[in-house]
Amino acid sequence: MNRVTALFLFTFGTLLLEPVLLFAVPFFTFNIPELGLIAVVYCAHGIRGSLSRGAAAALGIGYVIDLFSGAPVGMHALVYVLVYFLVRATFGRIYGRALWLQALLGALASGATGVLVISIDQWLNPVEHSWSMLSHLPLQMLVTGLFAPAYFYVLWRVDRMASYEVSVEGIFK
Amino acid sequence: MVLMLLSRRAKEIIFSVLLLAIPVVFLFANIKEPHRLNTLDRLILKLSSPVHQASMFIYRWVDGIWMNYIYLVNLKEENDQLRSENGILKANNAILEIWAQRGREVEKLLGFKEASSAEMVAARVISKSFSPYYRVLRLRIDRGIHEIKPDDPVIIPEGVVGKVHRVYGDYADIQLAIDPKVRIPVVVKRTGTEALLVGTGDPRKYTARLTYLRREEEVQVGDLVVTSGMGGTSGVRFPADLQVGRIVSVQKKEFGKFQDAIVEAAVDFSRLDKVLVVVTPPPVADPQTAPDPELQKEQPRTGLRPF
Repeated sequence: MNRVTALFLFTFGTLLLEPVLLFAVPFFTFNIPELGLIAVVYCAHGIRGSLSRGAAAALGIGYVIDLFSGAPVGMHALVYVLVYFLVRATFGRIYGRALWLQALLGALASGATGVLVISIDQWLNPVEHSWSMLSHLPLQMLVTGLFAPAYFYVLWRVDRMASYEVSVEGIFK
Repeated sequence: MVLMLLSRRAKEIIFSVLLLAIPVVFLFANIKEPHRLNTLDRLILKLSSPVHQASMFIYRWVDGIWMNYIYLVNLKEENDQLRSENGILKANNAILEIWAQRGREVEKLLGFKEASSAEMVAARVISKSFSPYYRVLRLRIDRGIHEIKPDDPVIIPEGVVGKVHRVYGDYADIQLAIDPKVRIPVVVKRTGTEALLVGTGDPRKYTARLTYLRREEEVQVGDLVVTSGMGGTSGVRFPADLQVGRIVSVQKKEFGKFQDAIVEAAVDFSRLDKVLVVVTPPPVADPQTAPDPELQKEQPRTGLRPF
């Protein structure tokens, strides 16, 4: 199976289970790790190769999140594709494999996503207090950043199952 | 043919631009007000509806396996059924109480009796907290175009939830009462003061603001705010006397005609699972109409269709 397709299907399954599993933990009813976003970062940095394939996966993951979250359809799809290109452009040449680097990448991607979602939302639908959502960002970045290394490892395993040629790419394993 | 002539890099760039353009087109089709949709927008929404239905089917299936077989084997099913029945009974009871109370008041004071009827459909909330940035202002429910329409009020027995914003295919978006675009005519129960409720849109608090609240009115913190039963500017009309929330702060201005009050919603929107959509609101009482003896015997028609 194609690596990107395998990662997309796995992420889709994870996204379906995530709210059900995390709903039982009080803390996560408010700040949930953005597993879809972590998968997008993995596609951008871990798979390399075709630019458009990874972007298509980012689009698909964002679209699924839009469908379930109640956000206008296209919002997360657009932001995830933008974040995908952003990660490819900025972190493309980093090869360290430290866990803190993976956490940092997850946190920065989460921050970029938050800023983009809030900005686009405010631009399309200017309402009072919309910018106050920015105050959630540090905690959201922390949660996603902390989850990132573990989820990158899981994605790497899935990636390996999809293709035996996968060894160590980017900063993940 | 042209694509074949292009270099691999050029193709990548073209596909990448296309992948950026697709969500932009979807986004613009989705944020438009329903009456401003053009043919392309409708086509996009129509095309995305089956994808959504398929995703929802899979989601329900996974959710069902977890909730019914792993989480709690039999208890969950029984509890769901009881909760659903209880919700319907509570709603029926609340409407009956409102009907009886209003009937008594009107009979006593004005000598006429009002017949109240509201037809509702029960709907399940199908959105989940996938995104940290979208969890307050919108929800999705699984009732479609054949049963509900935009601007239908959405309630639960505990109070007002919001209104139907958009209906596509077999599901609909709800704008919550705390959305700044929703306006609901309300009454402060204790004083009988009328005002217009407008959401603050604050994502961290479920609050709304009372506008056009006259400065001389002595409203207090803790006062209960209920729906007035009148139609709002947005075309939505809630049944009267439904709880909206309680006043948590009052700001008296030194000048001007009005004062500011903030209302905390009675409903915890983060815990919504099932809601009721009022498809036919009760008629507004007409004081000129003579009381109909047949009407006095009639029971309120509160059609509730189960899930």
